[in-house]
Amino acid sequence: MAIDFRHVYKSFGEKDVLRDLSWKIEEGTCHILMGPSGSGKTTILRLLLGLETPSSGEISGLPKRSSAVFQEDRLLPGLSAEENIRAVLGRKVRREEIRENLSAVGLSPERRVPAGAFSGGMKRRLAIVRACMAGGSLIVLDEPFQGLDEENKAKAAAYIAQKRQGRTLVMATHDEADARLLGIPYEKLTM
Amino acid sequence: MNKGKKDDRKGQDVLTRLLSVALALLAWQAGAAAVNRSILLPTPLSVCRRLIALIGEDGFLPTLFFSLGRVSAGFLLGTALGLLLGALAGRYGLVETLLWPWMLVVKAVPVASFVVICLIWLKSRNLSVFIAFLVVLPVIYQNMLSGIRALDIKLAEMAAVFHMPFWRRVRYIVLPQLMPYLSSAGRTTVSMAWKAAIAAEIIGTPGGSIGKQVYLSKTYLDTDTLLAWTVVVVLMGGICEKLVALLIQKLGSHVGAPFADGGRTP
Repeated sequence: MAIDFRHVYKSFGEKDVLRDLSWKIEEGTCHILMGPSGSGKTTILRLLLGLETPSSGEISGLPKRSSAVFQEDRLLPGLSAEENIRAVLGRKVRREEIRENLSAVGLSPERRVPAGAFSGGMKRRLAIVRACMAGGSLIVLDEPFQGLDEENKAKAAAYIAQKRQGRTLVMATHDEADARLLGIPYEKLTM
Repeated sequence: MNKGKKDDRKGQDVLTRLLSVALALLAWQAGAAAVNRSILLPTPLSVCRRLIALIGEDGFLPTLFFSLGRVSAGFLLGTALGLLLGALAGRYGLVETLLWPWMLVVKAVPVASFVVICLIWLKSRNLSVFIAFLVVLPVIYQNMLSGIRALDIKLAEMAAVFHMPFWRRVRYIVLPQLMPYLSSAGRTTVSMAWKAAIAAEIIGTPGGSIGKQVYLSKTYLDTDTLLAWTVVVVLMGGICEKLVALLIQKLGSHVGAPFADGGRTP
């Protein structure tokens, strides 16, 4: 089912962040939101995740389940990488599967190190693995490669492309090169 | 910091504490020598002797358990209700508004006034349960409320997006953030509960309680016994505080690292 934004406005107090946005996201497609900081990219992503409601206008077709890489990593700092994923996914996922996924983005599945002690890049990659392993027909990525070096960016992008498996993907970035790294066709919405 | 350095520091800490206890005992001894009247201020040694004799008496353990049971009951009841009401007030502003005058009264009214009122309402045997409960309740409530208010909304959003089940949210997101508040409240209130409950027992003099023994010692001007029972209360307060701290620490490590060995279910 397509996600359809119809004449969506969003304001916070006096500040209008979105004005008359009409936008359609077909199921299984990849969309990139481009624009400078403060242009409303994160607000659109929050609307997609159901964390905000439009001030006026209508959004239809939002999926029941989504997953996300937030602008901040939003990890559980006292838990290890594996535990962070299990806290979200529960016991249904095998340990080997989690370890394979962590290794795919260059994270060694250290059992005893809490995520709070990770470097910025490690936290980012863990947040990417968590989002990609979680279910849901929509993956929302807010600046997913920020803080990653070129090598890890490439690894993370290849991982996302592989794990997408036909799911709808919406990514916010200020650098189109990040979108090209994914290596999949995309539509661009410039803010 | 490596383990060796940590152990050294811990050892130094224990040594410093022991030294400060020794200094306090010396000051007490010097004070008792200066006063030179055991009825006013007995020496630490005579109190220690009386304490050892007291422990050997038949009535010691029943008296200890009488007060311990009531303080524990009051503490547990106050903690349970404080947690529940704090959580509700943190979630629903109306509950906080409704509870505000009650909590204000419980915090502001002197313990002695409550004791006198309760003696009219309750049997003196159960007085210390109620007083310990009243002392613990507002502190736990306030800390729970502050903890709930300080919860990280971003983690709550993450949990909502990933559809984390309720109990997993409580365990991995809410509890780890509440632990510092509950730890501080738990440790503070357990000693407060002991102090207030014994004060209530001294006024209500329920048979078989530590408070009654303290009251009788005062009546007979038996200062050695009075201070010996006081030492018992101080020790029990300290032991209970350590136990509560240990329990909270265990709980904290459990909610902090649930899958450390890969076997536990979220």
